[in-house]
Amino acid sequence: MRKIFVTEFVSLDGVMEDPGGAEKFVHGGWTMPYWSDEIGKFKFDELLASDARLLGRVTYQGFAAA
Amino acid sequence: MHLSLDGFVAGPNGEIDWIYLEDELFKDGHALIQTADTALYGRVTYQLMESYWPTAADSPTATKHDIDHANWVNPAMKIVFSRSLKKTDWQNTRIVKDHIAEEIAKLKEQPGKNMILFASPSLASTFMNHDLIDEYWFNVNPIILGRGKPLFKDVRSMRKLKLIGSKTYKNGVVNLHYGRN
Repeated sequence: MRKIFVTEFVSLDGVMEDPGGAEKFVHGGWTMPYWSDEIGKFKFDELLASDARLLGRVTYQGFAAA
Repeated sequence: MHLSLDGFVAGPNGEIDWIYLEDELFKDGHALIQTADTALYGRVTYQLMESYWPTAADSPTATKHDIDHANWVNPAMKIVFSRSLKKTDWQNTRIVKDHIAEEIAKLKEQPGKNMILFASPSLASTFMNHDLIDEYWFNVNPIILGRGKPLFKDVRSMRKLKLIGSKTYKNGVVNLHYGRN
């Protein structure tokens, strides 16, 4: 049976809002200083390991616009 | 301090029975307190500790951890931060009512070992807002509580941290050790 995985960027205090900086959140883009090739590889491998993405509207519209 | 994945330090009624423990966690916790000679508590955590540790080592069912921690905490200096607490019966306790940042600055200047703030989520938030914390040791438990006493709810500003180390325990707890950035 297929499994559902959840993948998130999250701050120590549990904030997930606007990790990339496109949503005008006051701390938007807060993951950027921590980006690395290793994380890039992780995100890419993760993408290849699945064949369906489940997204809420906000994230979907963000992805669609990118 | 023990945290759920969603950032709670206790359940809605103060429950702490969800915390994952094992010998290795006790061993590392014990090594950490050996670097310290002072315990800092908020009132709620202090009163919980005061009801247990003075006699914990005397119980016939006392574990090695009970005895080790009792041997450290009973003679240690204990500072409880509270506006309502009037008196305490536990040895070596001082009550601080106000001017927390000034009190901590004074204590840091005095010679001695480190000071450890145990649990006390409200006090920890106050310390974070005053930028008084030099290092954080979080044991993140593999559980989502959904509701409870949140650690970070009242923290008001962003603070970048530096990851000093991390350790994964057999029972699924991950320790995150942060310092100032």
